[in-house]
Amino acid sequence: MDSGEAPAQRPVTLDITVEDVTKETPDPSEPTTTTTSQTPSRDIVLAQEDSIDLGVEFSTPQEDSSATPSESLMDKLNDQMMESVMISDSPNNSEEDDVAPIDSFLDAGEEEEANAQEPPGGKEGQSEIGQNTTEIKVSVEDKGEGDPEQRVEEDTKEQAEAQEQVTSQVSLQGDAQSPSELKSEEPALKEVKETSSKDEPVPVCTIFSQGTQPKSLVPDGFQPTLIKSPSFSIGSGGGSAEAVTPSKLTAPLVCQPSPSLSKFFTDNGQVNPASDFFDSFTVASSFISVSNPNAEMSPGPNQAPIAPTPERQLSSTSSSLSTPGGPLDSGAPTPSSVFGPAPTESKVKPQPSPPQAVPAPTQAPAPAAQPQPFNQLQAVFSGSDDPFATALSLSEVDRRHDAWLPSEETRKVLISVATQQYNPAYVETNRLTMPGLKFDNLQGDAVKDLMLRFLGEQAAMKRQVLTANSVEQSFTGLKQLIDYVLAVETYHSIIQYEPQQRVQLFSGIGRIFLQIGDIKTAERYFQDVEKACQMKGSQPSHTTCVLMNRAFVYLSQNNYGEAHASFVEVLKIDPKNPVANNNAAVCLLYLGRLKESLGQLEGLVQQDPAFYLHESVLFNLTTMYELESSRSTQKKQALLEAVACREGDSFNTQCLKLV
Amino acid sequence: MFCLTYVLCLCLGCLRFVTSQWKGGSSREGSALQFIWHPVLMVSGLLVLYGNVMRLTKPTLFTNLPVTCEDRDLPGDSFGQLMRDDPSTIKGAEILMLGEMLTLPQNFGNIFLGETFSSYISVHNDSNQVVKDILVKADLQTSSQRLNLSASNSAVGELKPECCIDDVIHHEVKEIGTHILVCAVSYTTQYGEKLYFRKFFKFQVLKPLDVKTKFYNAETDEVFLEAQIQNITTSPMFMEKVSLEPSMMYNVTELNTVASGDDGESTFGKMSYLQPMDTRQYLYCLKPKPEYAEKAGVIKGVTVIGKLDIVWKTNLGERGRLQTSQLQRMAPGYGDIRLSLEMIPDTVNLEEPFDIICKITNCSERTMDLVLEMCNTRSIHWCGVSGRQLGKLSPGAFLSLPLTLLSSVQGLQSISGLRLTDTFLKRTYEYDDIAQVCVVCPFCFL
Repeated sequence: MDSGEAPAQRPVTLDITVEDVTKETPDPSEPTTTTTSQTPSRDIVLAQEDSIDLGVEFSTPQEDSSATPSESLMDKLNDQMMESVMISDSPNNSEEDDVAPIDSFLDAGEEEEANAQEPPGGKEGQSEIGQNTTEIKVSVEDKGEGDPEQRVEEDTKEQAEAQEQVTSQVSLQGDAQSPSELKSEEPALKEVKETSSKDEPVPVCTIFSQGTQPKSLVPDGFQPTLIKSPSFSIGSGGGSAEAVTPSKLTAPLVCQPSPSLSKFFTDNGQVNPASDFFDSFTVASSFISVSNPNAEMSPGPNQAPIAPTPERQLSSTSSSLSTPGGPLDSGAPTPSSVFGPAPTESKVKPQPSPPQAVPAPTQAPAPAAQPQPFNQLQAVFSGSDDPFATALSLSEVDRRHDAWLPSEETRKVLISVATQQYNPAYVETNRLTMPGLKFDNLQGDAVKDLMLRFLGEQAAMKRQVLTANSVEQSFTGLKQLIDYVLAVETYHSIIQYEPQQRVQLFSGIGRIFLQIGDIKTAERYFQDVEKACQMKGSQPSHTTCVLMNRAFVYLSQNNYGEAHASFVEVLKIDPKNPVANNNAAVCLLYLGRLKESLGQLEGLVQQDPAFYLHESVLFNLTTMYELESSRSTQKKQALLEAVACREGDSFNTQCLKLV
Repeated sequence: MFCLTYVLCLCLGCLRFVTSQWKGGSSREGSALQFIWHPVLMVSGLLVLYGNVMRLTKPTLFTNLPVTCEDRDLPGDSFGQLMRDDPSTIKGAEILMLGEMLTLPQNFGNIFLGETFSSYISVHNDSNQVVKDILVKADLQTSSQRLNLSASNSAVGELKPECCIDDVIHHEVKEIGTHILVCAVSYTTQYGEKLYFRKFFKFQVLKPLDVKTKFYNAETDEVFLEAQIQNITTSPMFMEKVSLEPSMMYNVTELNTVASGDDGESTFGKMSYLQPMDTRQYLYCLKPKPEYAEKAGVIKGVTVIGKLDIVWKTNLGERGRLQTSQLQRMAPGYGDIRLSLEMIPDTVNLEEPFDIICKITNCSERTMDLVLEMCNTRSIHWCGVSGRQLGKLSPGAFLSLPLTLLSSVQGLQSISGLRLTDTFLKRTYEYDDIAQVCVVCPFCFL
């Protein structure tokens, strides 16, 4: 059923293997009896299902390793599956399956498939909520090893969480994983997996071996190649060309069981900062950082709230790891692989949903460094069995521990504010703490560093800049335009309030669309600009704007010649227009006129360095230097000298491309 | 330093290759090479020609980060002044982030199937002697073929010092996987030595889209095709065109607009673009053309439906186009005899006869001699004679059969109880639940 077409066609042909999965309820082709029943129903019938498979897109887990298209197709005699049309070529596409399945159409069959894809350990846990009951037991056992009371309650809570997770997980799978869902599902999956693996009285060695083999190769080990552009070094493997969901991406990166892991566990097990974990449940995450001394130790802000899982994990397994042959050895290696990807994931999902992702390795130093508060906590804990009471007392203790004592002055102010009635509180400005900037790392002068490196110390000595020390306050600029649609809407609303900027704003919207690639809409906006300009009568600035827009449209149509002409026309009106100058030079390069382009830019920079020593211009200039000849370094250094006597330390040295 | 940049080092007496592989995006690599090799070569006066390659993706618009404050704030107008002085801002609207300044691509980026690979090839005479008969050739080696991309294959007569030969090549990428751009330069030195060097630039072509299709067969001969298209690149994609080119048997209707408006608003609303990893569903309805419609009932096996043609654009109109190969579907099997309804009322009155028209098509390979039996059910009562001969029906032929029936029960009733018997083979085909009809009581409204 291979219908791969000859690649001679002009547009690239996706090679498609079509597998006809015919599964009809009545099979009339073999009417062996005298009475065949046929029941055509009137509505749209999903009588049969084709599945197109380019390469091995839709493979089921079984053939992960040796997937040939036909095999994979055999496996998915699944009525409801979507076909996937894919560019065939990469032989290991099979893994993509995890992401690919589509979803609203998948039925239970899909679920099975997804389940099957999980590594052995995860299989059982996935859809069974019941599993969690055993969980409690395990955790109770854990108690014995380390920190008794806390554990219980952690676990019960965790329990609840986990249960929820599992449920959602199951349902997700039931109706299918849509790509977007997948992301969030991923960690959950892992969680479940891990839970189950712990619960099962699995033979030690089995799990161990499972843990040892790099998880990256386990079914959802998607190649991390697609997301980052410089993936090419990965080499020939067709797999490198594969699609990867971002969340999956992280998996292979961190999954390798690190040799130090066992050590980490041993160090860690006994002195687990349960508080860390605990607070994340009982208190808002922001509170943790205040009340909980351990939280400060945790490596990243995101990690405090997500700490819990590893703890449970660690504590349950740690002792067994340190003393090989221990009774609970089973779960040990799995968490390593499961939690491996966490650091990255935690960035992606900073919300405090505890069991999701856990920075296992990074977690380590914190507990080791601060055993102290833990003991305290333990003392508090020993009395009660009620988790909530314990939670309360715990945070109470923490609060006392960290109590803030106001100075005499402050106290006065506070009292006066508190006792003041009816009036709005007024505090003298100099008594107020103003928000400020804190620099974590020393701010150097990048320009100077470069000069030291390339021009020598003597030259570098001449470089003088204002340091950042005098700056106390700063204002953040606008956020990146994250969403194009939102950006456009914002512009529209601005136009209502700022009609005099209509021309610029419409042009801005047009450029946004150009950036997305929606050239038709962009042109519509540019037409609006032209209308607006005509209405207002011709101002030189508006004419420039119109010409610029035209040039951009030409540019997007790959018509660099016309684009260049338009920019040149702008220059006739406004010879000093830096944008037009620069853009014209850029167009020249695309026209294959490197020398002219370079000449133009160099001329600009020499004539009016104040104006043209701009990041964007320099980027272009250095890029062209590199393209032009082997002497680019010297030329760049010349630029550096020019920069050194004009620009401040906020100068983006990257644009010189010296390093 | 550019991703695709490479230093084509070349010496007078001997050829020296810096044979390290180009690594996508690794700029350090490139500049390191330059740094290490060039001083050596230049000091010894050996370097003659310098070749470099740069991928020309679309330029990007420079974005500046406006920093603003209220006039009464401490910095006053100084931020505003700064922005007005900045050449990259838009005069009159300084706080627009998206400026008009174009910047050249700063890294190799990703290249996807269906996009156009453009590249600037520059060969520069770094020496102070005139070089003669320079021939620059650019070939692209894919896994299956080797293509010549050079605009001209004629040699350049001579290249003076500080002059360069420029070439911009374009190639629409049609294969996935590893591509190697091979640049070969041959020339003659001042002293009549014929020299030649080659350089390889390797890059991977990735898959931009994930396309999945699914067919739905309607009881009428229509086929619905659902196509899911997922953007698996890392940048937003504007889908300029996603159309189905039907095979000759079908007419296609695109069901991707909401019909209410004049032009029909897209079902995707204002979101004209597809974020990374986002998926869109497109729906198409395929109707067999009249001349094929007659045969549609008897079409069996795999039929070609057509192919999807997808055109997308990204940054500043960087264009990509892909086509799927012919999509095929398995025609639904209707068994030996297909019974379909050509006409049926949707609502009928209680205990009042109504007419339906059945179409009986012989889908088998043999002639049939049919007898029609009509069995009453609890609610459906057939009028007319049961067990009548319908006559012979040759393969592929059909006959339309008006039938009358009435329902004795109100509500949604299923029409069942037709039996066709082929007297040649003594086979009986049962047809139940053929259609539903709503039975109402005309007097209830009184």
